[in-house]
Amino acid sequence: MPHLLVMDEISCDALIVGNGPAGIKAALTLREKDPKIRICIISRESLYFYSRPALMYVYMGSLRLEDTYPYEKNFWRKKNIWLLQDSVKLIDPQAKKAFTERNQVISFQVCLLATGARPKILPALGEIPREVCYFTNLADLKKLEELTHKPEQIKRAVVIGGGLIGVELAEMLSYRKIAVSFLVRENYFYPKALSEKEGRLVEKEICQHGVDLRLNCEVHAWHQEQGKLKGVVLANHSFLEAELACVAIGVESETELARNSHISCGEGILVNPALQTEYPHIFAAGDAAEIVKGDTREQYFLWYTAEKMGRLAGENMYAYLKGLPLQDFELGFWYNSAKFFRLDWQHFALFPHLRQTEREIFFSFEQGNKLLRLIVEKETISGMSALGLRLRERFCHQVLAEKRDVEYFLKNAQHAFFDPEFFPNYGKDLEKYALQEH
Amino acid sequence: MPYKNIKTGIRRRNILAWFLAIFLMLFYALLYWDKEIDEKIIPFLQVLFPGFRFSCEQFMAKLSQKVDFLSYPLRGKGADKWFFYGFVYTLLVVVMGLRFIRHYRHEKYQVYRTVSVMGVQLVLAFLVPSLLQKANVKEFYFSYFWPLKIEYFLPSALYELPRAFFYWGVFMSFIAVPVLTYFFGKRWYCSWVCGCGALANTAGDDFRHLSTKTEFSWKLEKITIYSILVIAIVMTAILFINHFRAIPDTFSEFAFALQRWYFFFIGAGFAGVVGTGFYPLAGTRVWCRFGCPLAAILGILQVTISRFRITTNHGLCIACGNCSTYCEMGIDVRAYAMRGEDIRRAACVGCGICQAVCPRGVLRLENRVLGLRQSK
Repeated sequence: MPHLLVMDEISCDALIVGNGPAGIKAALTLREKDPKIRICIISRESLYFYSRPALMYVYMGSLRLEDTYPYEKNFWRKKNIWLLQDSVKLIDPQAKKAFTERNQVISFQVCLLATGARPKILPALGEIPREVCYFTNLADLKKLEELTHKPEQIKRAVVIGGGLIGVELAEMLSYRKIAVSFLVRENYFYPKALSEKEGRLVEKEICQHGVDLRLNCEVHAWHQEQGKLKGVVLANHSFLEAELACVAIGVESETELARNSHISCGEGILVNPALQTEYPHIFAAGDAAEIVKGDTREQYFLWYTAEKMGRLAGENMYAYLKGLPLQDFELGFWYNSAKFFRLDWQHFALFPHLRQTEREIFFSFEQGNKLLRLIVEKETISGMSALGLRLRERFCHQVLAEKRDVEYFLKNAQHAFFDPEFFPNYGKDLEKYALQEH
Repeated sequence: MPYKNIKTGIRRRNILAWFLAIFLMLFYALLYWDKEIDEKIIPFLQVLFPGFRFSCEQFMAKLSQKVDFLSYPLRGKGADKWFFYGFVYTLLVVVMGLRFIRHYRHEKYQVYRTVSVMGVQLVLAFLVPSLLQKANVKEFYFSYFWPLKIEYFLPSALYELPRAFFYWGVFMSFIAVPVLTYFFGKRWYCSWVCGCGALANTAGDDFRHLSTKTEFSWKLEKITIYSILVIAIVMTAILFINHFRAIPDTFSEFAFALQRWYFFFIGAGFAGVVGTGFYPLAGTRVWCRFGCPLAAILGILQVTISRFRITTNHGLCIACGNCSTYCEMGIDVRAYAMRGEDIRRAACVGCGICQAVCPRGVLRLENRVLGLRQSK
């Protein structure tokens, strides 16, 4: 236990640890419900909420860091939400107190752990060279800036991991004219969410931007000379020269604080569907949480799932304080989006992964450079995914919610697209573009 | 993606940006007030620095002579400072417009819009007025109308302009403006026709992120732009009353003084010196956002009768801030996208950059109304 005598004690009603989308949404929801409640958001990384996915644009120079703050600085004063930059080291659930690195004690009525996620590290590769970096937070951005301060001195960089952050890193480094080898473990790009056809199209786009994309490729070991990274040894024992390595093989829940505080954790902080941990006044939400529903355990690592959980956590924290019934988390529709270099990707579906009872219908435009995929169960549409095209969220949600069939979709397809004006609206005779099913 | 790093150099209000701003403001001051400076400021300087000799008027005349080669064939006479200014302005719009198109070549909306403003500037605001002068007709800019070009609907227009031109101006101001704005929003003018917008979106495009997004600036904008609109309307009314009264008295003196002050402060000072001079300091649309009375009218129509809005796919928004940063009108687009609200703002000129820079396909400029068909 930290030494209690020298500590300052402050008190609030709701303490929120972490100012990502989950924490912020929870705080704003609480404030909406009750203008008086004393809310404190504590973050070790940044005093102000910033958009994590925007860090790539800060690196590429198209945004200043302040531009990534979704709310003006005085917004927080107006909302009467108290911001603190400090690191919570320990929470005492029984005493309802949190202890921070700067010797602050914060007492609370309810607490939300929205500690987010941290990057997974490559297992069993030994000592990690200094030139290896991740890209999930401000410190990573700073480190990457330092490492690539003189891009002409880096002959080649490797990006390890074929996910959304991997492709961002490949784009960022090529933007700074650094040669990039992009190592992807899978046999096509991003099978987690894309079909093979779509994966191939993304691969083409990545290669067109001068990236050396290598599929079925895993790293076996770091190669260092005099403490400096000189390359990586691949699983097939070939050697790839590189002065910089960026690892983006996924993220895992940040559970350190919860574990230190003896709050039970699995992969993430374990919560019931109402987002409560084993202590009913301590909640967890966002990337950090692992929801236990009967026998199943669910974890989500997306911006919008974090926001959705944050909103519910805010509502439930309020309900808990007032002794009202709590609500359970419902994911609702699954949606995601990304930009692979210049290729837009948007996905709306009932379920995150393709299921056995579902089949796919493809539409191909402009010699296969744009793809639309409908996921169909019997005749009902259960998902749609567009690559190189933009879809209208409102329409897609309506199709899913009303359990519409393919015929309805084809008839109204001109409303399905969201591409800017003057782009051809393929929706007018969509059938023409259908690919033969295999 | 914008052109280059906005975190360094002239794009971040460095010393060079200040020099450029001062240079632009001096140029506009010389352009509008060369005689006045010669009369009032140069003698004062001569007291301070005996032997100092400079004539702004002669300087501008000499500078203008450089484009005589174009002025003679186009206008049948030598270049004056206004022709020189028109030439430089058009050159900037066309050359920087080509650069803009090259950069946004994948965005059709940007390409078409820029071709439109380049064409309007080159033909309607440069060639046609010049050729009219050659044909001994009063020069006329078909792409500007009251209350931006306020003199096209003032009593003086009745005897200075050919009647057909006067009617054109009246038709555009009172019929085309509401009708086209109903269908397309303010953008049909501000981003497709207007020369001020043309310069802002071509030569000034590197500075668009400098527009201020604070709530304070939004409040200020509403005060200034509608005040100037009221002043413009009241002044027009007073001048017409004065015209029909036709009595030279204190009222008519006041009317003409009002007109002089309007041209001095708003026409030259705000639209010219500040409007362009502030490009490297406060972004490109300072005049359009805080001053232009025509933009005020278009904006009121846009939020009341127009079908135009920017719709959002708000679930896909990652709050990155590209849209807000690159909004030249200082609209916090991201705040709307995060709430899932359509963007209907009087200020929005529909430049479409937010839609172009959004990395998640969240924003779309729209005029049309959705109509779904049921399946059997």
